[in-house]
Amino acid sequence: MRRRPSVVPSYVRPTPRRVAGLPAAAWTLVLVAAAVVAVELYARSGAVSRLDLIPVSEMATRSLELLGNRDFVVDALLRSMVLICASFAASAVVGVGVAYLMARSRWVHRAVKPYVNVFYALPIFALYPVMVVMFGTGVVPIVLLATLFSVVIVISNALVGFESTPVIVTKLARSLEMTRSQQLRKILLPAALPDILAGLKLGLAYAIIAVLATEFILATTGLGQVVNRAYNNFNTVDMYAGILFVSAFALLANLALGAALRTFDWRRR
Amino acid sequence: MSTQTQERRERMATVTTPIVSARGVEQHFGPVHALGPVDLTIERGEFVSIVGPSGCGKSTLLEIVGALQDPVRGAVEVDGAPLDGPRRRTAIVFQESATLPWRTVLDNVAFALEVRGVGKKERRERARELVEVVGLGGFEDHYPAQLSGGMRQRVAMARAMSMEPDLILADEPFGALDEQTRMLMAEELLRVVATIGCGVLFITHSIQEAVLLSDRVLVMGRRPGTFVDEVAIDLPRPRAHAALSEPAATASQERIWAQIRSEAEVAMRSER
Repeated sequence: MRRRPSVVPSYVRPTPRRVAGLPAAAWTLVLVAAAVVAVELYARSGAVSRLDLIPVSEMATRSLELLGNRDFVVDALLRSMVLICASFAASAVVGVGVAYLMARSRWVHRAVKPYVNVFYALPIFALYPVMVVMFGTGVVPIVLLATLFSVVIVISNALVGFESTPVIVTKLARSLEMTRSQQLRKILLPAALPDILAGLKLGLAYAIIAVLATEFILATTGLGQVVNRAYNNFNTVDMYAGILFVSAFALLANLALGAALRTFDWRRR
Repeated sequence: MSTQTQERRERMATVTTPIVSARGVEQHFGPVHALGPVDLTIERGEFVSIVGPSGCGKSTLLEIVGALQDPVRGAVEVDGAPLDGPRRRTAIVFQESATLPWRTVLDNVAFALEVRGVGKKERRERARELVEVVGLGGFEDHYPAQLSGGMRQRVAMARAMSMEPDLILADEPFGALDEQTRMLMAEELLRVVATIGCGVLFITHSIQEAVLLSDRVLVMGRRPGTFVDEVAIDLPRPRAHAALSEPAATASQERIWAQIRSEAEVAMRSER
């Protein structure tokens, strides 16, 4: 028997909990699995050269092999992660600090704002020859570029957060004679926290992009360089294994920050 | 100043001086003459309301008494001492309930004590009592977003009470509430003020509210605001909403309304 269509328009009907017996999260997994299987079958079908694409199972096997390889783990994987964490930490501290100073002083705000605006449009990677000339090909230019690349988004998000503190709360702070440090700890930071975390989430993604891309073009070690070298040597297996690591790391880091965001975001309570 | 006169001043301050005494207070914002000059006296434990057309400078005067802004001219004494910054025992209740959305009801009420460095156990105990006093028992762990506007304003009132104020400055505290909640909250405020016996400067748009609550109602004229009338409200306390229908109360309301109306009409004509 055909079910009669509902007379209630679809946009006022509640979102169904399950579609075809599965909740939304399960459908996400189904889609990912389907994509993986599709790539696997396509690669095995022979319709594509092994130089272009290899089966996912081979990528995964090679990734696991690489995890047993001490040189790869220490020189590439850990090194890149440390660089990413260092750039991310630097841009988080500097970004929130600069935004705080901008929110506190109109003078700083007006002095710094043009640079923040321009930085959006600046192709930071174009600075890489300058970095090489000034700092060589070590870790300094990588961390510097990655920090510069990710700090802007942290600043602008944190600034939005600081400036969204309600006027009435600022008045309350004044009437209670709160000191500057009390205002920062008890009013400004908690008020801005949801925006700051959202900015940090983006900042982390930017730091990952910048570290790997910079390693790609100017480093002699690191995950980005592993992928680059494999690519240049037609070593498709290692290339995809490296890409798999990069994606997995970015995904996990993003999920972790997302979970932190949900825990501390009072706007979603 | 000699020690003797200082001592005498201090003694007088605790016995006879009014809690608020402002003289010739005047405020300008750039070219705009916003307020005054006005004189304002509030006796200890007295409830004084200011009504007037919007934009006449009521809130400005309140913020000056609360030391949130400095007047261009004039002098304000609170508790017998010249005002030189926010006072510990002046509590301000704002129009929008100034609650902190990231804190629970209990931590919001304890906030003023926390800022003053009261220990965690003590301030929580005190906050728990006050939450009961304003009738929010059972909501200690809720966040402001989970409360109604009236409940949030109760949180703000409980926080104000935690400061053990001798002066409460209330800037249209019930302005955002619906009529019924407004009346209930007004009666609640009267009860609270009677318990702690503090002076109150209360700003409102509602003439009824002013008459119901006050010992004295000051009518402020159009900008630059000065007081055009002063109406003493001689109704017995404790009062409840029913007191508004007594002849004395209706007469006061009509007198105040007539004043405000003529001021507002002139203000609207001159703006055009």
